Amino acid sequence: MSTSRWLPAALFFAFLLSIPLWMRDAYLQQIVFRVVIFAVLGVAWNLVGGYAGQLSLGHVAYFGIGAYSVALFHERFGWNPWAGTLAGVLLAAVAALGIGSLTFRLRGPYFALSTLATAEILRLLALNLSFTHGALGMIAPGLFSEPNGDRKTYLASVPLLALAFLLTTWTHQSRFGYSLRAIRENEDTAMAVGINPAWEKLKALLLSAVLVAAAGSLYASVFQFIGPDSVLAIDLSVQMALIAMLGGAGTVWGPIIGSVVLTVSAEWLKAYLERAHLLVYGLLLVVVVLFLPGGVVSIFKQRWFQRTRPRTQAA
Amino acid sequence: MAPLLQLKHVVKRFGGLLATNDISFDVAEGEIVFIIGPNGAGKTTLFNLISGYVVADSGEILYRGQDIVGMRPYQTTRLGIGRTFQIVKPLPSLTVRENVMLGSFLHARSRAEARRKADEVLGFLGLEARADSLAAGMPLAQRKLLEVARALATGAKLLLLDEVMAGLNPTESGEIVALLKRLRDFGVTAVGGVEHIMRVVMALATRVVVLDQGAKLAEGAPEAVVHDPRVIEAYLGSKFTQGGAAP
Amino acid sequence: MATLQAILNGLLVGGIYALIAMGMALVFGVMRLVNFAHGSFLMVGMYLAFFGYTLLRINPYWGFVLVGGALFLIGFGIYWLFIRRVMGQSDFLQILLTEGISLCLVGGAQLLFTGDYRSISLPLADRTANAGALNFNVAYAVSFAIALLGATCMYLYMRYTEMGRAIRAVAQNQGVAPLMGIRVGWVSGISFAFGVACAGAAGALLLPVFYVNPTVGGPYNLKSFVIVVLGGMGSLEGAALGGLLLGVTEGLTAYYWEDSYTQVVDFVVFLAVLLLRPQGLFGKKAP
Repeated sequence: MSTSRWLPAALFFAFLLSIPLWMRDAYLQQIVFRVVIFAVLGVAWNLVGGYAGQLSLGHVAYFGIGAYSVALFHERFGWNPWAGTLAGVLLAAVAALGIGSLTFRLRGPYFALSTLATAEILRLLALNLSFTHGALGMIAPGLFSEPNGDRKTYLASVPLLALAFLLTTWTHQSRFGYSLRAIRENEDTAMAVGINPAWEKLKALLLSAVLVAAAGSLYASVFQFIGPDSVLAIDLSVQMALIAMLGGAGTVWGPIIGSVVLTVSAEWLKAYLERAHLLVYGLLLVVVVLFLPGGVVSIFKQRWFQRTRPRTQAA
Repeated sequence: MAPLLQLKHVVKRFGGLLATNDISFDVAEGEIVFIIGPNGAGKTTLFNLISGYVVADSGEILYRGQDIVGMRPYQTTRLGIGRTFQIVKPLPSLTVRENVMLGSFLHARSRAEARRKADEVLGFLGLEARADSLAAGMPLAQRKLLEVARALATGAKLLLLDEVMAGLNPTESGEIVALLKRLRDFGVTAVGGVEHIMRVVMALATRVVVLDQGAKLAEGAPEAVVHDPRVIEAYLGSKFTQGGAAP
Repeated sequence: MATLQAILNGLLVGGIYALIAMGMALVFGVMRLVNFAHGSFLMVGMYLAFFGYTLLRINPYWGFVLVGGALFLIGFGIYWLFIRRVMGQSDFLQILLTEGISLCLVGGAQLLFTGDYRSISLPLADRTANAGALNFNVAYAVSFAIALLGATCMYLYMRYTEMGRAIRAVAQNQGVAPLMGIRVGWVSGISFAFGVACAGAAGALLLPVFYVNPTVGGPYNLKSFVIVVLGGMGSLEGAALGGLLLGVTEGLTAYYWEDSYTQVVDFVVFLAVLLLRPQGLFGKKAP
């Protein structure tokens, strides 16, 4: 990465790490934590949805696997949540391989629907199987014990975001990233240049699933109470897509910006309209799709582009 | 020396339609072969069969002696078969150079190497001035050249050019013709598909294969084929004289 | 005998499923659009029927016509304002748009009506009758009959009216239709409106036997996807048959296994069809 690239990133992450030093309000801290976790989710979804152009509406499955793993392995085997997280990540990888090889055979809306179906199957299983305690949910242990357990967990989430960010940055300029973009635009063209779309999509999904599962584990250990409706809901999958699209799908900073905008505005709105957040998400999604499909980032890109690129000759 | 590409009794059906009816012919290295046939004659199907987008029902397709029937397109590309499409589709959100890099990434070991190779190909095709512009919004002729550039960048030794001159005016076609001539120097064997026997084809092609409704009608040097009574009959003369039979 | 009873129950519910799914199949067949807001429109229809009954004493068993009409207008409006702009773009954007519209509808309902569960009680809804050794809930039977009637009308409309033929023409070949003087945009709008009206009317028919709340549309939305894929994307007959089939499958699952597993079975059927016979029962080509 060139200096102009890593400096803003370094500053951003340094800022994030500094927050526990000066932000005392526990409620605000929780909001920041949610911003970071959702940023991870958005960045992870972006690999599959933004770069590879595959509309996955079942990503919450991996979130749930991460969350439930921490809870289940602790309850059944007494594992500490770090081991639970590792297990969750591995399980998510296996699930991604399975789900990916099934669903990536399908194109367009069939693919989206099949990802939705697989995530719903997981949610229904969690709801109905006894060892997940159904609708009652489960308790997950915290990663760190009190005092300051929450703060330490937050500090653990920042490196996760940094990892996701680095992964995206690398992808953006690597052969892998170009392959994904080619697949997004036109799979036939991608094959014509020697790219195997099935394998590349699977790789993207693997990376994505692992990040999402880790975020799920962190989420579980902070909120400590998880259930099918909190960690396996379709809404979360849609939120991931919204975050990435709002900020800018297929860009490095997009999902992070999207998470900040969405989480902050959702919290702010809660103060005025208790029940309106779905409506707001819906409106944002409609507005983004119709008027700003490139997301917030595209607003800046356009201005920068006009300033620095030579005008293309119209023939 | 063994031919670069050999088709032996290749057959392909789509439901009730016999798109490819027992086609056999060879292409030697360094040749420029044109496959001629109106739309629906089976040219694109043939290209799809060779490059792997469609699997032959029976017959053999040998590339450098290796049977490639059943290979997926990315596998044939890796072997050295490049292909352009009738409806060109550059990736609009990438620059011209990045589009070509998509091709050069195949055999490059680093991004820098991919970029170097892409620039080389762009230079060869005269597109280096546009390297940093977005591929979207380019005129058709340039987009066609970009398709060819991308295919060349993959290191293709056999280039399948489906209707590469369709939609171009005479000046633009002339550029393609010049390109085809230089391809031979670059070590690339070209197989092109066109709708009629044009002046250009007569001048360039070492050999010509005429298709009619999926079957091979005639094959040989352009001069000979043009006088073949079966070909004349199939084309009813009028399309045919456009090509200019008299040298 | 108990099995037959389960099948009968499933069949009756399946009638409503069929109506809902036919609406979705119509939209997909004509516009190649998967409407993720379909279930939400059902919810809107249910609320309209609910308030129609509680405020105006309109019995849903004939009020469904009004609800269908209202939703037809709403659907056309939504097509004209929003959907029209993404036709021709990637399915990615189309799906996200309809999902966004769905969220707006659900979110709006939550804001206006809160998440409370509401229901009406019609005297009809508590009655059971019997046909031989089998008994059935009269309300379900009436809904089934109406749904069947609705489906038949739809079929006849598609077959014998000029607009119906235009709709089928566009569904078959969108490229050629304009050449025959068909205004594809208009036909798409009408089809979308029709599809949404089906969902709304089905919602009205469901009200007497079910409850309404903002999220009630979700499961029906998903069921519609399953049915439309099962029947063959875009096929109205397929959706009708698929609806009945799914109803019966669910009924048997509830009887032999457990009620809560019916949704899982829905999705397993869905994935199985997509992977093994993607064109469904009546579809022409595989996706």
